[in-house]
Amino acid sequence: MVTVRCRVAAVDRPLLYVEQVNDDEDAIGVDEIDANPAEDEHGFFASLKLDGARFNGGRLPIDALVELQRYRELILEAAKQAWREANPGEEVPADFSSEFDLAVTEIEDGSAVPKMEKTRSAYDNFYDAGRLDVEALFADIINRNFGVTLHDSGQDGASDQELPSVVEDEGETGDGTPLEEEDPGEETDAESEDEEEASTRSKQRLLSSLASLDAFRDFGSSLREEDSLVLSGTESHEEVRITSETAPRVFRPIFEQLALDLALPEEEAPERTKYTSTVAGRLIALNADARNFKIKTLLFDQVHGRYKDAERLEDLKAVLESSAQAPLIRVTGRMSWLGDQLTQILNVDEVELLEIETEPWSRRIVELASLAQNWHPELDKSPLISFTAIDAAREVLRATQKSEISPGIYPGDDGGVIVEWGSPQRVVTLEISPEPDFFLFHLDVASGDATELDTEDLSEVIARVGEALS
Amino acid sequence: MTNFVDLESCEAELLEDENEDLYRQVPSHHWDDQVGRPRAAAFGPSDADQGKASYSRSTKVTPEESRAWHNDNARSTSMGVFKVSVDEVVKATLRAVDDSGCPLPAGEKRAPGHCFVDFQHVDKKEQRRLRGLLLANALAWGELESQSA
Repeated sequence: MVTVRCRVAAVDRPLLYVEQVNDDEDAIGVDEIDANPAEDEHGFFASLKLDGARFNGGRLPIDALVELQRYRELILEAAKQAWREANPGEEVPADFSSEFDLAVTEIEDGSAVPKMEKTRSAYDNFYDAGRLDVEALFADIINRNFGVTLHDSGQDGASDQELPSVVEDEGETGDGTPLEEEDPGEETDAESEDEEEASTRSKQRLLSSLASLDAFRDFGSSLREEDSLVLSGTESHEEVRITSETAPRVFRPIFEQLALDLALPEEEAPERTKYTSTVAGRLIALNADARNFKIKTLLFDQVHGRYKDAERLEDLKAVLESSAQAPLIRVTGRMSWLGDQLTQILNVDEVELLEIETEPWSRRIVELASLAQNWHPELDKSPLISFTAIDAAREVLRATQKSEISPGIYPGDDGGVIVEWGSPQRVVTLEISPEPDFFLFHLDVASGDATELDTEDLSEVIARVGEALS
Repeated sequence: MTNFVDLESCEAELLEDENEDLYRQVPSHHWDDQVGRPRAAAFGPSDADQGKASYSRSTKVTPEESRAWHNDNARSTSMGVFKVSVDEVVKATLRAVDDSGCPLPAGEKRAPGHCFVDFQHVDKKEQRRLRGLLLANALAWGELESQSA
C-alpha cells in the first residue's frame, strides 16, 4: 500500500491540516497541525493511499504517477472554481496554476507512502477548498450516487445501458446499501432546504466543471484489478475508494450524460475568451502610476481596465478634464470576456469622448453609443455607431427641436444614425453615414410625393429638415 | 398599371378586403423606445427578403400570436406589432400575397398566417416611398396590443 501525502502551507489564515498516517494496516491516524505561515513553509495537504500488492514495501510504480497528476489537476480546477465564487466576474490570476506547486518528496513505507509537498502561496485557501470540494464530491458520487446511477457491476443485474442520472440519488449507497432514513418526525425548515439546494447546485457546478477534464474521466484508470486508490475520510466526508472500474462505470458515464445535456455546461460554465472590442461607459477612476482605470459601463456594470501606451493616459486625462461629471467615453481594446459578460479591459487602443448634455434625446443617444459591435440581430456584421454621426445628429436635433413631431433615432446598419420624424401626414427621414454624409427623404403622405437630398453640408440639411417639418 | 413580378403557382394574391389587416413585427433595430415609434424601414423588405416583406394575416392569427411566434423563432426580437390593411397596401400600388401553400427549404419554418407585401417590382427609391406610406398608415392605426397577459 502507498499513501501519498500532500503538503501545503497556509497564508491568510492558519489552516487546520489533517495528516493521515498510514501504518502497515488500513488504520488511519489523524493529527491536527496548527500551521503558522511565518514558521512553517509547508503543511500536509492531503493523503492518498494506493492499495494493492504492487505498492507493497513503499513501491510506487511509474505508471501510477499519472494518478497523482490527475489528482492535482482536479484539485486545481476545483480551486479555480472556489476562486471564481469568491471573486465573481474576475479573472483567475495568471499565476494561479503555477503557484499550485505540488511535488512528491518522499515515499513512506507501509506499503508505500509517497509524500507530496508544496511551497506556500497566496492562494492556499483556495487550493485547500479545492481539495475538500473534490474529495467531498467524490465521496458523494461514489458512495451516494450523486450525479450517476452506477452501472451494473455484474452482481445486481442492473443493465449496462442504464443512463446515469445527473441528480442526487439519496435512496441508497453505491453498493446498494440503503442510506440511513431521516427521523420522520423531524421537519426540515425552509432555510436548511435552501442551504441544501445551494449545496447541491454548487456540487453540480463543480461536477460539470470537472467532468470536462480528461483527469476526471480517467481518474483511477491506471489501476489494476486488485488495486485501489483511497481518499481518506474526514469530518466532512467518508473514505472514498477508487478502483480500475470507477472511471468506465462512474466517471465517464457522468461525462457522457453531461455532454448530452448541452444546455447545462453552457449555462454553468460560460466560455472565457479574449478579443478586441469596444464598450461605452463613464470613466470614474484613473490611476496613472498603476496605468489602470475604472469605467462604469452601460452594459456590464463596473469594469477595471489597463493600458500600456502612455499616450492613452493623455487621452484619458483629457477626457477627465473635459467634464465636471464622469464623462461618457467609448473604449476600444483587447478585453476579457466570460460568456457575453465583460470582465476586464486588458489594454486600451483608443478612447473616444461623447459629450452628453441634458437634452430630450440624450438617453437614446447613449443607447446608440453603447451598442456593441455586431449589434444588428439579422446581420452577420454591423459596426459600432460612429460618434461623428452621433454628433451630427445632435446638431440637427438641436436645430429642429421645435418640431411638433418628436424624432425617432435609430442605429444605421453602416454605423451611421437615422433620425426620422414620422406621422400619418408626413415622413421625414435623415440618414447620416459614419463620415458623415447626409441623405434626406421627405414624403408628403396626402399627395404621395417624395423629395430627396444627398449632401455633405450639415447647414443645408438643417435648413431642409426645418422646411420639411414646418 | 403596376408591373408586378409573376407569382409562383403556390402563391395567391389577397384581394382588397376591408376586413383583413396585415400585422408587421417591429424588431429592436427599427424601434425607438423613447418615442415609441418604428421607422419606415420596418415596413419594407430587408436585403435578405428579396423584395418580400413578411406580414401576418389578421384572419389567421392575432397580434399576440404573431409576436410570440416571431420571438420564439426569429433572430430579432419584436418590440411591438403594427398593422396596415390590405386596402392600404393595394392603394399604395403594392399587393399582399399568401404564400402559405409554398414548400419551404429544409429546416426553415414559416409563421402561422404568413403572407408578404410584394416589393419585388420596385427600385430602392420607390421602395423608400412605399414603405413611408405604409408607416404613415400604421401610425394612424397605432401600435396594437400584442403582449400576452
